[in-house]
Amino acid sequence: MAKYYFSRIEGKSGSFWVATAICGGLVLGWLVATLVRFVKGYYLTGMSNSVTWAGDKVIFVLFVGLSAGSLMISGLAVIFKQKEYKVLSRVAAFNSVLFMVGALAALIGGWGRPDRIFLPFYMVNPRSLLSLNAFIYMSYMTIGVLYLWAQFKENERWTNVMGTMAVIAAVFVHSGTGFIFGIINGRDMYFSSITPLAFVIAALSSGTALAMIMLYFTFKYTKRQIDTRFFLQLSKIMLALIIFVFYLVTIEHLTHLYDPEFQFGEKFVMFGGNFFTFVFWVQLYLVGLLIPAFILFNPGTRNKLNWILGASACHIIGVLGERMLFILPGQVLAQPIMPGYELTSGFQDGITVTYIPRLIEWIQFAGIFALIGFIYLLGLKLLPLMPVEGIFVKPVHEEAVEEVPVEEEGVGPVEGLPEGAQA
Amino acid sequence: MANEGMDRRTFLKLGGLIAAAGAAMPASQLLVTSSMASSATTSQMQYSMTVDLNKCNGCKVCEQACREENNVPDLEAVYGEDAKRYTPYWIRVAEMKQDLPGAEERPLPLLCQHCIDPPCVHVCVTKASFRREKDGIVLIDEHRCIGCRYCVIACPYRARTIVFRDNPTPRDEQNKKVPAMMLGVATKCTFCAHKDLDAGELPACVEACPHKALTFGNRNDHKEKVARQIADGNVQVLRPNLEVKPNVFYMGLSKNEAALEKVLG
Repeated sequence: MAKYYFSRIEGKSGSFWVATAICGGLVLGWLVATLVRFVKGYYLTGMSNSVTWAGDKVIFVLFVGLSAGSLMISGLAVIFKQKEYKVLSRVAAFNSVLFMVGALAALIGGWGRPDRIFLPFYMVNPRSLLSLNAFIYMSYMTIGVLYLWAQFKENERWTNVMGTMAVIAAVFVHSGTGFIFGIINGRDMYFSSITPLAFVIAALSSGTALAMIMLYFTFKYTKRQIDTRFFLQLSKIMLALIIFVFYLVTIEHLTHLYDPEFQFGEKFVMFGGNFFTFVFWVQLYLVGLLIPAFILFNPGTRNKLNWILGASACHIIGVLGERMLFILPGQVLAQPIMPGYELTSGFQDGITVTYIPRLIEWIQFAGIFALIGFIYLLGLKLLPLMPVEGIFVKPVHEEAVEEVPVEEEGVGPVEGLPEGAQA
Repeated sequence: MANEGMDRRTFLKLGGLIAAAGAAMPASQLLVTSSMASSATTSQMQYSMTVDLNKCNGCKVCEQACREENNVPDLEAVYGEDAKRYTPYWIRVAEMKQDLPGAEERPLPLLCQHCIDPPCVHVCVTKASFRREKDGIVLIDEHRCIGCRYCVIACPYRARTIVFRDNPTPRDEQNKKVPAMMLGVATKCTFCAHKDLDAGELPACVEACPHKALTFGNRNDHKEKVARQIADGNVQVLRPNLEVKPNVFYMGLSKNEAALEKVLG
């Protein structure tokens, strides 16, 4: 019977501890910055009476997407019976929980009163999607942890059950997050039924991209064998998803362009010659969609690992742009309180405002990313997440187990090996 | 087989617990909310305000009166230009000008519209924003608000903001009848709910308006001026297409249509 073997990394090298220390330091910075912002107030940020959902929300949505995407990638092995993907199902499932932790840290750290963290669990408003999402997120994380646990226990039956549940939960989580924005009918730029679907598909594509990058570098630095064929397969899935994202984003923006209520905002984003125009055309379309699609389509580049990884990085940058376009233009633009009238006041009525994150926010952003890195490194050291022998299209067979060099540099004790197989 | 160490019963127990915890709370809350919503819509009293734009000259006395009554700090005056972006207003007098040649600039007081179907209440994560059953005033329980800003985003009238910075005025010099603004939570007009409105007291802005442009009262009591003004039909609401049923009504909002006729002949 085909079987993969997983191990912890040793994590004794200097570079491991340096990376962990840097991440830890930045996480500490995030905690201090969040505390200072909580005590002194939001005025330390670049937010204003107009832009109150700012960079923290962009990161929150990006991370929820990456989490849902990672989990769906992990669930591929279960849902589509693709055995070779089992090799990454542990680390991808771990990443999904990890990114959800990051997303919630960004969300709760951005609250005006993060000390009231438990209130949403007993003051529930069923009409509020954000309120319901508190339960959806918690259930999702619990399912993710159980899914991971089932994998650690090598229980195939429960891995399948929890994997299927996890993928369904991931769709709910990301649709739910999309709906948070999509249902705001008071702001033209938000109101859309395509938003949740676009969120889910972009989550899948960026989750795939992220899984490839994280696996590649983890394998490289732990001196595991890297099988290019595996990345080729994933890159084909990613290409299909990128084309779907392109389609959804394009029809949404085109439709808005023809709608009188959305037109002003769309023109502002697409042709306004401002920061968002750059994000739209360069970050989202060029870097995020067209360049990766070209790389993954072009016969000269689509089979080369470095190009595939480059395309993945580009796509994640593009999806970050997409998240920014979802959240920020709807706030920087004036709300049409009196359509057909020019409005001015001391409360920023009728004007297009600017939002530039301040130092304290940059420290928070860096800290959230570092939190992901910190937990990831610790996870690799403490949990048997990584396959012993890198990536394989064809699974390792038990007869090959004896040959597995378990004490190679960077490879810790192997989980699941028969007695006597450990060196 | 790799079934060791994990048994089905453990999994079922865990799964059942999670599902029960996840489903039970929102379901129980749903019942409470629907009963509250139905009683709210049958409320006999609904405080409303009319704003007569034919009388308002944009003097902003209402803004100042509101600041003093409700401890709403003018942070821009204290901290300078940068504070302009986060200075809170419970009522502000905007200048509006129709997008037509020859149209004149006119004042437009804007405040919380105390909607019957308020989006801010619908989206509030912890039910900190609520519509008071006895008189339909939309309020915020600042001890329950988590500062998520969803309501600020959802309000179609920009009536809300977040408390960005502490009030520099010492508490001793503030109006003690109104709680001090709490840092990091949502804030907005309360129609001066701390006053004895039922006994005839008026919101500070209405009381202070030197031109009697603002009228306040129970729109369901036909003896009240505000009810008659609304019943006359010469009133308009802002963004009626959203159907949030606001309770601030404007008279003379379309005055500049005369200018339109002049241009079009």
